Amino acid sequence: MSGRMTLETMAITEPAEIQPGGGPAIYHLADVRLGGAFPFLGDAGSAHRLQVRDTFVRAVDQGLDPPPALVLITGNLFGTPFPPRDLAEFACSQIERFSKRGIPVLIAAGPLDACYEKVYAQGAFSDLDRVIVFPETPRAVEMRDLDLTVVGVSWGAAPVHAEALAAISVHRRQRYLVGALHMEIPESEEGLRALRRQIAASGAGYLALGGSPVRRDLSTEAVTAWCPGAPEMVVPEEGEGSPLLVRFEEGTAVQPVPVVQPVPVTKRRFVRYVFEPAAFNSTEELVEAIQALADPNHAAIIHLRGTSRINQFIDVDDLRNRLAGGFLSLEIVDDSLPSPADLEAATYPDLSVAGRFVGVARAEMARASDPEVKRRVGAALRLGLWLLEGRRPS
Amino acid sequence: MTITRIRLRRFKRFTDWQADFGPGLTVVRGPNEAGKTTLMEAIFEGLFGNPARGEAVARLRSWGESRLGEITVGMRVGGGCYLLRKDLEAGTILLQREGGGDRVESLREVQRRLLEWIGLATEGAYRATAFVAQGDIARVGEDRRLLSTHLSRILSGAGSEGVQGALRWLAEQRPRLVADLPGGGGASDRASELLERQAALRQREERAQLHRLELREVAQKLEGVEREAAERAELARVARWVTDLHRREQALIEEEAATSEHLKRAEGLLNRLAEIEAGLAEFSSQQEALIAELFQARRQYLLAESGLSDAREQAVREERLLEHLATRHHNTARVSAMGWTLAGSSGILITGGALIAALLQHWIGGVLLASGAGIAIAALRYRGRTTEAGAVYRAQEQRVLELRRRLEMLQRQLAQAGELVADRLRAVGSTEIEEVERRFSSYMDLLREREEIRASLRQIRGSDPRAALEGRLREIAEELSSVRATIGTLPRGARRLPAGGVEQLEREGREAAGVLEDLRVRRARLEGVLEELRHHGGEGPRLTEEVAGLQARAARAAQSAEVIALTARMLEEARSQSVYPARELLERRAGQYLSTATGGAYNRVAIDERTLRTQVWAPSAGDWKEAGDLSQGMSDQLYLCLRLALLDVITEDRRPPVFLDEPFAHLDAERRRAMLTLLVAAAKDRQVVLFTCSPECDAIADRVIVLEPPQASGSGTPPVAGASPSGTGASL
Repeated sequence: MSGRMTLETMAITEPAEIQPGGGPAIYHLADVRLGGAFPFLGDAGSAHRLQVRDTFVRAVDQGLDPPPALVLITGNLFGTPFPPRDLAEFACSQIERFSKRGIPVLIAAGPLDACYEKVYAQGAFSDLDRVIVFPETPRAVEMRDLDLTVVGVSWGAAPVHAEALAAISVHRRQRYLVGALHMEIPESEEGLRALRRQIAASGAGYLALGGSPVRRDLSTEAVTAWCPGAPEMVVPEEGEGSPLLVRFEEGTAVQPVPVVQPVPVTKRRFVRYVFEPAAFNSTEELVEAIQALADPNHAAIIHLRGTSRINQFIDVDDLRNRLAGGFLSLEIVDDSLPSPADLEAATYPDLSVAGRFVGVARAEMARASDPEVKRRVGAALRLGLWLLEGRRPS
Repeated sequence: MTITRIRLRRFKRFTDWQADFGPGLTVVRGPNEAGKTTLMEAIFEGLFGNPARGEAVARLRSWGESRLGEITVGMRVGGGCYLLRKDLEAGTILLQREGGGDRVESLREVQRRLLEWIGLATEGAYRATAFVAQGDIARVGEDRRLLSTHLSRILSGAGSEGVQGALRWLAEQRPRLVADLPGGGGASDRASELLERQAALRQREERAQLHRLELREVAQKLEGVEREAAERAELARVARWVTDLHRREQALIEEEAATSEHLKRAEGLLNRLAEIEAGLAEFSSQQEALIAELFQARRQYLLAESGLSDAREQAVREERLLEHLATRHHNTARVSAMGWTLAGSSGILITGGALIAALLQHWIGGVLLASGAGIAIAALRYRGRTTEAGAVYRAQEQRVLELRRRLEMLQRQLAQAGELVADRLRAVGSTEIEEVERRFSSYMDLLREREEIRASLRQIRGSDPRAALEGRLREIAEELSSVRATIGTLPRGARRLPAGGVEQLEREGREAAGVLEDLRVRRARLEGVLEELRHHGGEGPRLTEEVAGLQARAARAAQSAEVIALTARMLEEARSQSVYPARELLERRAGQYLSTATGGAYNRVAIDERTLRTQVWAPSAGDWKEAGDLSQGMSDQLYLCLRLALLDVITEDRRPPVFLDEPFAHLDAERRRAMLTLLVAAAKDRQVVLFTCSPECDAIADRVIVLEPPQASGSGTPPVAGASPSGTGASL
């Protein structure tokens, strides 16, 4: 792989941008997804794309104050390999704010806007000066003025594997060595351990990663590695992302350790609330409890979990319709179940329909091994008793 | 549970009324319009009504009252006494154990407790079984076919608000949910449609990728062809240039040869011109003038000679004419005398004729006059002809004379010209004019030749052909040298023309231009397609989001549909189970009650599991009798027995209070007694409240409450307390 490595030198013409008395400062962004799809938001997706743009503008504003020596974007800037013209123009106009001030912008494509036949985002940045998109094979960009080398690789037809990390240390020619790539961050502990071993072996001073919608520190003892996360909410996942300001402190160490500082710009976030229906005497009480949490910048999912009373039917559709206005988006999932004890202690006369209905439900519940079937039987029990009591959902 | 006391304030016709109740049979007696049905309604409202249900309770307002009232019910449950108060004006509820301690203000909790005490699932079930209104019995009596339906409703344990309503509601939900399931035309189908659009969009994107590759290939090819076309064009241009240079070189060589030839010829002409000029120099200008005068004189002589010749010929002709005219004149003169004769004759004839005519007036006179006139005319004609001929002759004669004079003059002129010619000949030193003419002819030939040579020289190159030709030759030599030097600078390969010549190069160039044009058109088309795709680039995320929303909606609908289907199935199963296992118990209890009611005449009841059809064993017939075939009274007895049995069964013998509103009014006395006996039996272990206007029930009652009819002038309010043995109890 190293045999295919190319070296490129780039002079920083405005040394004033370098912080006096310190090493180079890097502004690190990833997973912006300017044109991505947000299926979890449904109809609110289009408006949220505009919000993502606003947040990106804010991120650029923050990034320029004070100006860094270098900007790294590690994947999924567009979130689509086919950015429409207006989006490409918007992204160009923002990236140009860095490049016009002489700040190089290095981009490693991610899976959602992978390079196709060596072309990134249909050549959106091909006319911009001082903007480099890494190719599908690792490439080193050497900046002698900063005593810095950045080794990056983009997603293309094939994904970027962790093996690419091993190629970074081969190209240490300057004091500061930085890796830039987007990777799939494994979920399992074992996968994470393997990834950390590879990160440690990369030998980079800082590893600018992408691939997590929320901020993640994947540093090891030897290598500082971060996923900055999306500047604005892009997936239904709790946690926050933001651009990172990475500052190499001046010192005598051969490999200076950078200081990583999040630059918060996020406006919206995803939240998850859990309620136990049995704790509420009426649906109205539950409505009030949810309303107290309403925030138009929150995409919320409300789980009704735990126990519910055997005749406590909650009309989830009605609840969603009533409360959705207070949130950016709202999903309510009722997974609650009448407790077995309540079911056993039900006092309906045995020979009445209600009594027999409870008996049928008990039998169904006992037969069900699948939790989903149990949930369904529980819901049917609650609805049936509710109806037998003469009540009707609105 | 036993109701111990009722107090009503501002409830319909009751302004302020209270009475004590107790276990066993309580008869509430009063005439029509005394408020029996209202009291029964008040009891149910007091137990299960929601005091805060707004307009629905407004109808319970006492007549003439602006405010709503209250219902207070005292009851004994197990070992405790409770007080249940509902303030319809304030919409509040209170259930309180006497002596304090347990206090409940929630409607839901109160209802839960009441239902637990009476052993039923819903208040609807209680109303359907324990409250026997007038209409219930009457309706069964009027239409016996409704019996099983009615029984079914009772057995469901929930009445019309129970399981049937629940199942109906569940069935109503299905179409709404099915709409969002696949094939329903709702969210699921819309999602499928959008998925197809999404797939089409993906295909377009994939095609766009192919287009992008094709575009790249076209661009590369275009670049190659452009380069090749440019090379060919350059090659053709150089080839044309080389051809032009060679052509020019050849032209210069040819021109040089021609110019040399012209120079040679010009030099010959110039030599000849010099010789001519030398020949011409022999003629002096004086000689030229003398020769000219000689020739002038010679011309005049020849002219004179020619004029004389002409004049002689004319003179001959005129002489001949004169001779002719003379002959004619002579002839004319000879006949002129005859004319005179004729004239005299005519004069005589005219005179004679005139005389005859005048004197004699004879016709002969006329003839003579006419003849005289004719002769006179002929005479005149003869005279005229003679005169004319004479004139012509004379004129010709003069002309001939004139001509002769002219001949003489011409002869003189000719002689003078001859002398002049001779004189000039002498002047030029020659004796013969032919010799002079030969000399002059030679001179003129030289002159002509000189002019021709000059013209030829002018044609060759201007006024100074030699210098011009020599100058041109120098120019040609210089240009030729320059062209050859240029050719010498070209690469060796370029000095030679390609095999097919420039034309082939140009043809290839045109073909390359055609290919270029095709490639440019393809590039423009591909760029257009890609541009269009970029224009619609934002559609993908929107579709994804819409599809996700619709799929979530469809999934929710599917989940709800499953729950609803399951609920319906479980309810159906519960309904069937609630009836069938209870059947035997129900039959046994109903048989016991029927035996009591009929004095042992009937003691067995059968209920069909599937249709709920009820039969009674008729011992006299030794067979089962359909309930519908029973007499009205018997079917009413059966109905009441079943209801009591049903209450026993579904409440698991909790024995809640039973209320009957004039149920036996239409029965004959015997059956009424039998039914009252049944009530007395039933009231042994439960509270039975019978509302009636008949005093005959007082005898069997454990307690009688009398309702007075409304007073005509009063508010229509029944008395505060009835004639209850325990009428004035504790205040509520």
